[in-house]
Amino acid sequence: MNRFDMESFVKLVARDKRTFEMLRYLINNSYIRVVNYHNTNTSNAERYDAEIKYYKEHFAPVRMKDLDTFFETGKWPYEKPGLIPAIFEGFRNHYDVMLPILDKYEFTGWFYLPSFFMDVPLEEQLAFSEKHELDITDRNMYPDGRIAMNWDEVRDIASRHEICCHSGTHYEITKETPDEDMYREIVEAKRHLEEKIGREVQVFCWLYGEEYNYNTRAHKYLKEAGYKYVLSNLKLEKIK
Amino acid sequence: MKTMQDVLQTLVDQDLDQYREVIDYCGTRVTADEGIPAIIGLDDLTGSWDKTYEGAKDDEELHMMMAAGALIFASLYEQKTKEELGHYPAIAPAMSAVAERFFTVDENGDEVQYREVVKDFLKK
Repeated sequence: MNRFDMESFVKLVARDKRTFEMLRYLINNSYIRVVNYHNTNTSNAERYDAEIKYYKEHFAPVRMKDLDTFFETGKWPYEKPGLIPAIFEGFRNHYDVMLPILDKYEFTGWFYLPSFFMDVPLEEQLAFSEKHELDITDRNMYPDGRIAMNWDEVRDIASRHEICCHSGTHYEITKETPDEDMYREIVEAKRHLEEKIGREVQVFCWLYGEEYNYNTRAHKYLKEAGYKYVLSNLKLEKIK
Repeated sequence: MKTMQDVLQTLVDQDLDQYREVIDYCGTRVTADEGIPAIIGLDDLTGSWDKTYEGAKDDEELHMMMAAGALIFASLYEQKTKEELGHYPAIAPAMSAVAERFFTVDENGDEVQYREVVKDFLKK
């Protein structure tokens, strides 16, 4: 039987502060469960149904206002822990497969959309998805070739679930990204999404999970856009 | 309620092979098609750094065990190569492994792994 090696762990903490930060969140009750989805194909619908049913029985769905309350009061407002089904990329199969399951169990989903994907002409969507790492796993699901949600579908989702911005074109923003690209992918992406759904978008989500403090050049654009929360794959940070 | 003393004792007592088995299982999941659980921190960058929080009552027993699990999983993922870890630091897959291993507790207070939720759909 192998035992925990405290010395090597201490060295890890010394090298990477994020390890200690995550420990702190867990001990300080400032954490939440997420379950990340990308493709939600028809062939897996029964599995998704079983998952959402389980969430409904054991967890509280999370609305944006619940996070606001948590940060304002310092207390999680429900007896059950919160859980966020996080659904990434804006695929049409989210609307056709996952949305009816979420609605059936009245469980809130958070949909992370690359804002300009929905505008791509039908015949160009597959090429766009390949170019921008929007990985489709069932290319035969839609013979008409439309793989992105359309805006009517996004608006329907927005009427009862959370919509978040996942850049404009599924773009990895790095420290070297030119200003004009940062502006388009952070500021214009948010405004476009808001214009289309008719309500404020409060969350920005990086690609590949960078945290707020990783890219200080992006701060002025996140501020100009007016985001309240920034999501990485380790944390959700309130910035306003 | 679990205390930090319990966490430290857990670290001493645990058989790491159980944790390695969870890591191996996590490596078989298909990110593109399956729901992948994770734990993320909630941080208020507009507030004071020393703010404390009260969590859900149903998580009282579990969050300290999650903390111990995060330490163990992070130390095990740290032993992987950069190529195996990809874009991410060791703590990132560790937080998904924590969610997999300590997803919730049952009526007896025993930990429930996420694979229990999807057990009818796992490949044999």
